[in-house]
Amino acid sequence: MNIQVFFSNIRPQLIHHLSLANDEICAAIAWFTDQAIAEVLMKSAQKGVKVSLIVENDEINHQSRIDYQTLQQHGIQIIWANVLTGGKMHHKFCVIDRKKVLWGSYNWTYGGAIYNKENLSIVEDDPNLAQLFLEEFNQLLNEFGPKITENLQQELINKTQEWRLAIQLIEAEIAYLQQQKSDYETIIEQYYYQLKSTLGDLLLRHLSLKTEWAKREAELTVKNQDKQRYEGYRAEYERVNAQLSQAKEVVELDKDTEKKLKKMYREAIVLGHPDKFMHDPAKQQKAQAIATELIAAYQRRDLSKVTEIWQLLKNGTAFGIDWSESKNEDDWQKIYTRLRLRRDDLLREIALLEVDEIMVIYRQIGNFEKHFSDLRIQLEQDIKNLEKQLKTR
Amino acid sequence: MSNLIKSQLLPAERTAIQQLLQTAMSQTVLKSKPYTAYITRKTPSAMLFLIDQSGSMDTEIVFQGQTTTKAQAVALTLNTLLDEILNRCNREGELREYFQIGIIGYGNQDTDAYSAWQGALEGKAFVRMSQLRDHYLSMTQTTVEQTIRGRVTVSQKPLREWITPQSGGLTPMKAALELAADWLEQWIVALEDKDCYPPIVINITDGEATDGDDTELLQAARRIKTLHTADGNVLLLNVHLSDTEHTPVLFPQKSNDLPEDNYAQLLYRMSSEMPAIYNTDIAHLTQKDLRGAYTGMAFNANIKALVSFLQIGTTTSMGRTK
Repeated sequence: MNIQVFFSNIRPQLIHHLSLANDEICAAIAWFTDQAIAEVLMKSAQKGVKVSLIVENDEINHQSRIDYQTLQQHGIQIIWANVLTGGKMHHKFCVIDRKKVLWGSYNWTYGGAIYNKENLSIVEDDPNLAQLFLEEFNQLLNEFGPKITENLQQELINKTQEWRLAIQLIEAEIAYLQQQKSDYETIIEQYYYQLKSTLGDLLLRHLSLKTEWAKREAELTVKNQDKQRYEGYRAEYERVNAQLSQAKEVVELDKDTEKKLKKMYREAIVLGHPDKFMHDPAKQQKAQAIATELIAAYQRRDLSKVTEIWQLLKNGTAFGIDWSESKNEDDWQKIYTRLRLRRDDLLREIALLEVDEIMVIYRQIGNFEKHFSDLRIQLEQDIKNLEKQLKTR
Repeated sequence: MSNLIKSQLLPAERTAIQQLLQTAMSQTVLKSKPYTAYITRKTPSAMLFLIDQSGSMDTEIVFQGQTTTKAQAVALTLNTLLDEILNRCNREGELREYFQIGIIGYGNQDTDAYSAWQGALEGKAFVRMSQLRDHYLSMTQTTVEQTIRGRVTVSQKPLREWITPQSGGLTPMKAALELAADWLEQWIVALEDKDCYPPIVINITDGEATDGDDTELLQAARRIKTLHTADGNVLLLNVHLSDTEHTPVLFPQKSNDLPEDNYAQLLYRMSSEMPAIYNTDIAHLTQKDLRGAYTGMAFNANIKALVSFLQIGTTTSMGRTK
């Protein structure tokens, strides 16, 4: 067992270890009045760490500057211990991620930090030891913890956690779908670029001959349906011409870079998704602009730009759902509904892309080479026929 | 005005007509809602029938249980139709001049097309209703099948006859279309911009033209189809008569409705799109829906199909008389 024992500089050690928590913090601390530690716990809770605190139900705690209600709104479970025998819940231990234990004389107070002679022992990786402390913790929970039916506050916390989970899941799904959609669009972009560079001239020649032919036919038959066909071809020519002239080259990345790009992209989408900020139009607009820039950068395969945006979003606390803000059922529902609608839109858009002729070809073969060579043969044949027909008229 | 229309034009006359026509057509503006004019005595319309009288028209077919030739069946059908038109122009005991009617024949040993009127009307282009009434060739009996309360009864009915069956020689269809255009151009020039329901041209043939290639035939058809009164373009309908058992195609909506036969496709391109006022009748006949335009043609038609086709081609305009 590797044990570290501290008699000074205890507070920084404590804060350091608490902020490293990944899954769970269980602490039984007689007195908890240090606001800095409260901040650390809220930040952890925000990351998704499950935080449970058992504290003594007395004046010292109640009159401290810590707002326990805010802690609870962050999803932190607070248990008030009333020892019926007249003694106190005098523990000062904390188990982190079911393997790290911190214990000693040290309370989470300013007094403990500044004036007192205190000690703190830390064992970083000992699940067995942690288990011993957790057993005691669970006993305390049973003794002082909420009786489910009578504790509405707990229900609210549970609800918050449920919503958080649901929202995090759907955000992950959106990120995945957005990436899929962007990838499809990239393939289509690639198709048009290759089409432009290999067959562009032939394609336009074919369409212009077809248009010319339809024009003459319409003049000859004096039929509306032939006139409409001619107008259809003419519009098609314009459309294809515009599409080809817009087609840009798509950069091909090596596997690792591609993988990294995808990961960054997905994370950035979650961080900056505009639908999260429906209560704040200014923020939403900003997020929208960033999202547009992000998608464009991804489709250009511009890793440095995607990383830059990712970093920007990561640093900015402005983005991401503000879990500290008190929300009622309706607010959660609204956020969730917006996200779900976005998810459904993406699913629809992807379904449409999947049946796109270009995607169908791509899925069958994996590249466009054969398609282009077949198309070339067909176009050349058609052009020959059209030229012949136009000459005989 | 119909009596002034010359059935054959000299080159100089044709040039003169072309000049007059250019002026007339440039002055006549098409209505935004075409094919809405009523046919009155002051604003009559015209019907022009082009009849194939080539050698192949003497092929024998069975019509109404009797063996007959195509030429005979066509003559009978046309005489019946003229008789019916004449009857329908009779209002309150007087004959009204709603229509002027022309018949152009092609074949019959002639290399050119010609006016197919016979007897007193011989050589005329468009004839008036009163001329039609006064100058039939003979009166014959015709067998009429009628279905009364589900029972088919056959009776004899008197029928006036204006044309007799003719057949022989080649099929100068292009010449017939050109002649039709000559007549119609004169008819339109003579209109002086009156709001008349446009003439309808029905070409009945059993074979391919022997005097022009596809392009020439299309050009000749175009000459007819681009002519217009203020009320709309002249309509050109084509009926291909067949002695085979193939299912007739009436009023196709797209070229795919027809067999991949070059001749069928040519007739399809030559024929006009039918104006919307015909749609209800056509849909009723063909059992096809009303969406999209019908092209005025029949392919592989037997005589029964020809009769139905002519009914639609002519009765819709008869319904516009006032």
